[in-house]
Amino acid sequence: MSEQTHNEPGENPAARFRSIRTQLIQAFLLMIVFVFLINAYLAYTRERAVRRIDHVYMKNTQLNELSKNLDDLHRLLYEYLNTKRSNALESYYDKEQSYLSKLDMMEKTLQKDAIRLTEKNIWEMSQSYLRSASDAIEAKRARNISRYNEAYALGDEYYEFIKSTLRSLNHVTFQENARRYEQMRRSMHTMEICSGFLLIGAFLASVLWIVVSTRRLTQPLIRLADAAHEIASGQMDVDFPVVRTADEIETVARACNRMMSSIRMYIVEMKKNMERERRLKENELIIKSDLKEAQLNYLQAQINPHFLFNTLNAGAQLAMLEGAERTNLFIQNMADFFRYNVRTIEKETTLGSEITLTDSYVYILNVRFSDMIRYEKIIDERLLGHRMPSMILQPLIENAVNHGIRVSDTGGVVRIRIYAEDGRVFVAVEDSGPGFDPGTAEHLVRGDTLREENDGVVKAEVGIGMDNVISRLRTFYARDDVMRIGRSDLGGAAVILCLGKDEESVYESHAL
Amino acid sequence: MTRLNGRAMKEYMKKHITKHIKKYIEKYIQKKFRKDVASGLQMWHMLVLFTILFALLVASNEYLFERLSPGETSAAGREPYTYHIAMIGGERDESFWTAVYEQAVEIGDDRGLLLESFDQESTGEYSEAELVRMARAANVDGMIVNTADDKAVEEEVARTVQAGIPVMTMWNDAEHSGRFSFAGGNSYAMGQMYGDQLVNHLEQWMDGEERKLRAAILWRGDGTSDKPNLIFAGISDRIKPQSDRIDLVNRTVSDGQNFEAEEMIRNILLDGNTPDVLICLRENDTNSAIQCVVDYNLVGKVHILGYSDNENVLDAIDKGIVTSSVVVNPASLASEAVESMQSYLEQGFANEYISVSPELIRKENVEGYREKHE
Repeated sequence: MSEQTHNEPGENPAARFRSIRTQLIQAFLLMIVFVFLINAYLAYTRERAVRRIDHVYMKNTQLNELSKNLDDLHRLLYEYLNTKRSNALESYYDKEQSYLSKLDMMEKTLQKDAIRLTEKNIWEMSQSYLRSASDAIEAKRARNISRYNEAYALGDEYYEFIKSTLRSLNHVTFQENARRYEQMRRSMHTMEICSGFLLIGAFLASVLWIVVSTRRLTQPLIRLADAAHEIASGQMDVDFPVVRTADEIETVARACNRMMSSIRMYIVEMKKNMERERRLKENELIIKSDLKEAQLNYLQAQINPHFLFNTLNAGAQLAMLEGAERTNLFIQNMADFFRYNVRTIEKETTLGSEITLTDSYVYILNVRFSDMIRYEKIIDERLLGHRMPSMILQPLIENAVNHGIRVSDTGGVVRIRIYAEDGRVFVAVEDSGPGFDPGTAEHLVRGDTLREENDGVVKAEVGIGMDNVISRLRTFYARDDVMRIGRSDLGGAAVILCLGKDEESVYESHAL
Repeated sequence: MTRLNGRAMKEYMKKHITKHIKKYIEKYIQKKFRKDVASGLQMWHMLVLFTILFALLVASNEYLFERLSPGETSAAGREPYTYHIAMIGGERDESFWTAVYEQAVEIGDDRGLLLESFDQESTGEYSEAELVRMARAANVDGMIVNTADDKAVEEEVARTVQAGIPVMTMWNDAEHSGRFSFAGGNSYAMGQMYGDQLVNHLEQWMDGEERKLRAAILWRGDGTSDKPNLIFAGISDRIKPQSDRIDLVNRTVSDGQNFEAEEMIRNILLDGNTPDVLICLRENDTNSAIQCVVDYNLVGKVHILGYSDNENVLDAIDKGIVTSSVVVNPASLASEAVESMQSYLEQGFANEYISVSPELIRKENVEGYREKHE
């Protein structure tokens, strides 16, 4: 499984590592710097505007101060001329200096602008005033009464002119300033609206930036979390998505992917181990069942077969000597039956041998039960060579006789049919008895409940039960479907063994 | 999983197909949206965006801020004026004098002369004589004064000339004040025009009538002027042959009091001896007379010989309320005065007497006059 990688277009795949911290700091720093710049600029603009608005009426203030200064000057001039006090003269010169310095703000050149022109006039008139004032002072010093009166009168007129021009200038300036103030206010308003829109724009851009940068940082995390969630729900084949963010998330995603492949390998390993263990357990079970069989064999082997056969042969000879033909045949059959038993129980055999054994067994039973059993065989001779486990048919005949024939006083029929169907060999053991009830049949086929019933009870007749038959057949043919139980047209039960095809025998690999 | 019943099929669909669709959509969204907007939006994009926004903010604010200080630099960078000339006198409420002043300023602009009107509006309630003194105090380079035949003004003009400031008179002369030049309408010619109109009237309306033509002239001033009245001389010269048929009355309207003129004109018109012709030598008087004639339903009975070319007078000429109006072109007068002043300031001499010929506006030429002056 290859790592899932989302490469951004135009991005260097080996992008320089930038930690989330750096990215966050960059994002927020950009925002903060931007916001700070805007605020600083707006504050600066506001401050500038306020200063300018302040400046608007400053001219009026200056004019008022100038006017007041002129008043003082004129008063001091009068006072000096009146009293000749040197204090007054000193103050006059002080005031004159400050007046001149204030006068400095006045326009002195010719300008068409009405205000500037008036300023120039004021400046000129002030010069005239100061000249006449200094004339008056000089004349006063020289005690030239008529001259200083004349000069003062002139000065007084100039003073009046200046005052009135100042008033008029003040008025015009005020009007002009009011107009400018109004204009300023409108400009400020437009500025505010403009700034407002731009601020909204900046706000939207900032929001977009925050959303985008947060998204960019968290999206890989969310996808990691989604992948983790999927993995947690058991989908082990999911990979962590690796986004080339060149930060910790990418590192984590790669590390997680490495971890995931380790885990997957580990799981495969674990599965293998579990399979192995399961096989071991199975084998153990098989061994256990084999042991049981071995025990049975042991039991069987306890009857010394040679002793039995010899004894039976002696009995047969005795019967022959005494001319008891039927006894001889009976004992002979019995000997054959047991010999087969002893000889073949451990090996596979052919269907033909099983039939021969069945013949002997039925003969013995018929002797025992006074020919109650009518024994019928419908056999496809070609199938007699089919290989199968031994001691399979005998328990079925035994069942048929015990549960089908012996329950009636008049006896019954036991029929064996051997036929092939769909390439498989079938052996049917039918009787004319009452048949199975369906529950029992099912249990028999499964071979489980019967075993429980028989647990701990060693059957008197023969040591091998149906469950054993089924179990051995299943093991031999490696298939579950080995026995069916139905109803025979004879009226009783029909136990049908489904043997495999000839070539399907796997006996060697699954030896009983 | 070869054979599936309906329910299992549904489960399968739900589990696998929807999962595939979901994955596809997620991939698509990741491809389109995330790449375009989220991942595509890099630091430098934002830097550019923020820079643009900030630049816009600064640019708009700076532009608007520049507009905050209008008019501050309007006078800067202009060629400095060489001479400061004060214009004093003339009634500012008359469109004639306003036009003269405006024209003079305009003409002076081109010649380095800055003409300033010293009037009551800009300096306060000062008499014209005081205004002359004020201009003197302001140390102007020259004055153009309309003395209005005021002795006080004439005296001040003389003092100003003594103080070394050249003065020229305009409209009303002060011959002995030492002014270097005089510019005015040709009063004698004006008088002749009025006289011609009177004679005209006599011939046109009074033909065959026994009674005399009653005519009144509205004068301004206190009536103390001892100067020869050239207008009156002009009129007299023209009506001399018919003088026995014309009863010419002089009525003086005082300059002193406000609103008196209008009352006076009403009295003249309604005193039982209503004149056939009223000669107005001032723009304001003409306007008042027009209004009075209209108000008292005297149109056709009283004929006004007016002065001025303002729209109201021209309209009245159109309607026949005013028979004719005599005007002196203010632009010509202003141009003559400024030229003379400049010549004197720069070369030390100028024409001592400049007269501007008057024009007569009648019903026949009023349209042409309008077109000429538009």
